[in-house]
Order: sequence, then C-alpha cells, then structure tokens
Amino acid sequence: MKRMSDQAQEGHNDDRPSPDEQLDESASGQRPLDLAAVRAKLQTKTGKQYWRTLEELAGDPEFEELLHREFPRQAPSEWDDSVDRRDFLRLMAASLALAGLSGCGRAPEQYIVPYVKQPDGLVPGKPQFYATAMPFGADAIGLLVESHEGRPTKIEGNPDHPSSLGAANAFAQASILDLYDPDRAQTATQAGEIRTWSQFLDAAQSLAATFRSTRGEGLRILSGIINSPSVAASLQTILALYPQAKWHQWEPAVGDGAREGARLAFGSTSTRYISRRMPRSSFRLIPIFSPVDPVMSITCESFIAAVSWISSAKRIASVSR
Amino acid sequence: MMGFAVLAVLAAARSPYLTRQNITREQPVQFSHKHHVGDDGIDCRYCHTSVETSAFAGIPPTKTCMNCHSVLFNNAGYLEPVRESYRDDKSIQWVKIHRLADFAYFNHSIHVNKGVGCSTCHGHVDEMPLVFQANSLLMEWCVDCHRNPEAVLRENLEDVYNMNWKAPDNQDEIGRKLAQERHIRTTAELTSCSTCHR
Repeated sequence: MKRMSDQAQEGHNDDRPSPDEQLDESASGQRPLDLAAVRAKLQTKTGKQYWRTLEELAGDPEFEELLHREFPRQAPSEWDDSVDRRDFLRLMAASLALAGLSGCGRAPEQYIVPYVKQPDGLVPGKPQFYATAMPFGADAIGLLVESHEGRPTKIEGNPDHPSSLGAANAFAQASILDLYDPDRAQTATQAGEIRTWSQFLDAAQSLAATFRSTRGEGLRILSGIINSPSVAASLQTILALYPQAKWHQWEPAVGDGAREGARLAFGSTSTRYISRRMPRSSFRLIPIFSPVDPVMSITCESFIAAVSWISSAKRIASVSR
Repeated sequence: MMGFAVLAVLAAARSPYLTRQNITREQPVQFSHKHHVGDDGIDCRYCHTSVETSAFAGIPPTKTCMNCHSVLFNNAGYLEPVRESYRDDKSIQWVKIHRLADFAYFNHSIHVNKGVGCSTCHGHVDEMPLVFQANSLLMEWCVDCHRNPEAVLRENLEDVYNMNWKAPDNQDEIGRKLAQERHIRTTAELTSCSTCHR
C-alpha cells in the first residue's frame, strides 16, 4: 500500500528525482564501510596511530572532502560571492553613518493624561508627603514618604516623630524598593492560580465556619511581634472567637535580653502587648545621651542596631557639631 | 557636496516640520481655546491651576470640564469623549503640543511669578481654535529671552494672563527696574548651562 501511494505522489511531481536517483544518493550518503580495506590499513600501521572514525582509517575520499570543508553539515560552505568582503564592509559603513540620520526625525507623539477627578490637595508636578511609621522589631520609625502623583519615590525620617527626628536608617531608606517589589502579591492566589477577592472570601469564610464548629481546635496563628494596637485587638477578637486556637509569636532580634535585663534591674512586670497568652514585658531601653558624656559601647552597634539609636545619633550629632 | 548635505540636515532640524511650530494637531476632543479664552474670557488659571505654584502648569481633570458641561452643551456630540471619560473614569489622552526635550528643565511658576506672560511663549492662545506651538522651542529661542528678559517682563503681574498685552514704549526702562525689583538673575546665571540642564 505504502509503495503504491508513494508512486501515486511521484506521478504528480515531475521535478522530483526518480526513486532510483534517490536510492543512489542515500547509498552514497551512507556507503557501507569497506571493512576489508580497514583491516588492510590496520595491518600496515605500526606504533601509535590515531583516527577519528573508521571512515578516516579506511581513507574514504568522501570523508577527506568533509575534512576540508569549513562548515561540513547542512550549511553551504561555498558562499555566493557576488558581494565580496570589501564591498560588504563599505555598505555596512555607509549604513552605520546614515543610521544617525534617523535620530533627526520627528519626535514621537506624546500624550498628557490628566486625572478624571484630581485628588484634593494635589498640585500637579509637586510631590506630596505622607507621614507613616515602619515597624522595626518591637519599635517603629516615623517616616515621611515623598509621593509624585500617587507614586512613592523617596522615604525619609519624619522630623516631627520622636523616634526619627528627621533621620532614617538604611532599612527605612531601602524600604522604598519594597513598594515596587515584583514579588509582592498583586492578587489573591491559591496554589499559584489567580483567584478573585470574592473567591478568597468564600474560602476564608468556609474555613472560619469549620473552625467555629471545633472552637478553633487545630488553628495556629504565627506572627512576628505585633506592635500595632489595631492588629493586636484583631488577634484578641480572633482568639476570643476560637478559644482552642493558639497564637505563636517569634521575633529573632527584638532585644528580649535587654528587656529582661532591665526587668531584673528595675523590677517591673507590667505588660506592653496586651495578650492573655503571650504577655510581653513593657521595658524598652531608650538611651538618652547627655551631650557631654563620653559614650562607650560594648558589642553594640550603637547607631545601627536599635531604632531608638536613630534619634540618639541625631541628638549627639547636633550637639557635637 | 558634503557641506551642502550637512547644511541641509541642519536646516531641516530647525524647520517647522521637525519643531512642529505652527502646526495644529488633532485632539481627542475638539477643544477650542479661542472659544473658552477669547469668547468666554475664562482665565488661564481656571484650568491650568498649578501654573503659579508648580513646574507643570496642569492639564485640567475631566471634572473641570464637567463643572460647566454637565449643564452647558450637555447634549453636544463633540463633547461625548468628555462625558465618556467622566462616566468611565478614564482619562482623556491629550496630544502634547509643547514638548521640551527631557534634558531641558522648565518651570512655569518661576516665569509667571517674575512677570513673563503666557502669550510671550504660547502666542495668541485666545485666537487658536486648536492649539499649536507658536514658537520653535529651540534652545536658541529660550536663550534669546534669557539673555534679555527685561524686554518681556510685565509690570502688573495680573497682566501675565492678559492675552493682549503689548510692551509699552518705555519697556526698556520698566524692564530694567522690574528685573531689579524682582531679583531676576544676571544674564550670566540665566544662560549658564545648569540653569536649564540640571
């Protein structure tokens, strides 16, 4: 059957080579190796001889030809040399020289895209400054964020905030990049698949219903230190709703040692973070340097480690100037 | 031959074809400054609100159009793009007419606050049905004025927005006085590279 259909096709394509020719070609492409010749060659060789293929050893003329071609595979090794190298370079040089002219064309059209409803207080072309605070361990740095038509561009300390006095540390400065981090979630996802907000709410509500029936048995909340009263209050509400749930807090560099030391030294046990389960000591070490005192710091990067040192550095610098 | 080619290129670079001087362009809305400024007498600052306080004079939000056009001509077909923008909360994309190179710094507020009038650079906007660029905006045009700002300073700051202001006969004298009063910088400072190329 196959043969027949091949022949039928053959009849329609006159310019195709005849089957015989094709056979010849394929035969010359993969000529059976003349093993006798190879053996004869090997007989005459003495000492160390290297060959790449048996064809080379056999002295196959086709292989010899292949060796002398620069691009032995499908690429044509003889170029169509109607344009020689010099002409080619000449043309390329001229094209490069004239390419500069394309820069003299009309500038492309630009558009002005104004607001539909301009936000109150915004002056186009002038930045706006928003006061905010960046949580930092158990503390927060008061910051001012410069924003151009809704796009934040620079973060600096808030001069009116006691923890900053207008200065910001490297972390706060760099946090502007977080706002443009492509890894930030742009949308709700489930196992990598994009979900709508209502799908997220449905999932969350069904989960909430499940835990309500078990009074929160098996529900664990993991968090870092919470220094926002509103978040702390929300967590309290959740823990009241699900009494069996557990809330685990962990913050690696929060200065617990310093706090514990202060508690030992000054002996107070009042709590700062209101939580039935995880009371936190209220102590915070806020060094206030007197400008004339010498400062000796032992294994403490005085002006980097803790947030309160930002304002301390500012105070010391302002006096020692 | 080569010299002619270079001259031709230089001449072309300054031609209105490339600077787009005096060329009107189609806008998404057929907004006529002639009607709003010339006929109705609306002040420039009603729409270009930030011209006195910011580098950018401000292109009005669609809301500004709708202040009047929710009542006036509220059925006109040619205002449909405006209503559509307001309805769909999508900005109108105006074709930028006065386009400075990105490497040139320009601040509207300093010019109007020192008494350089709108029409000095923008021409008779009150006579333009569709706005076009009245001047070349080439560097030589900027520098011409920065060399001799006295010639265009307007004595009454409210005249900055007056489209029909003409230099009085004694402008030389007034200009020098105003330049001093308003602390206009020296020609050397005004024409220094970093004044505009910051």
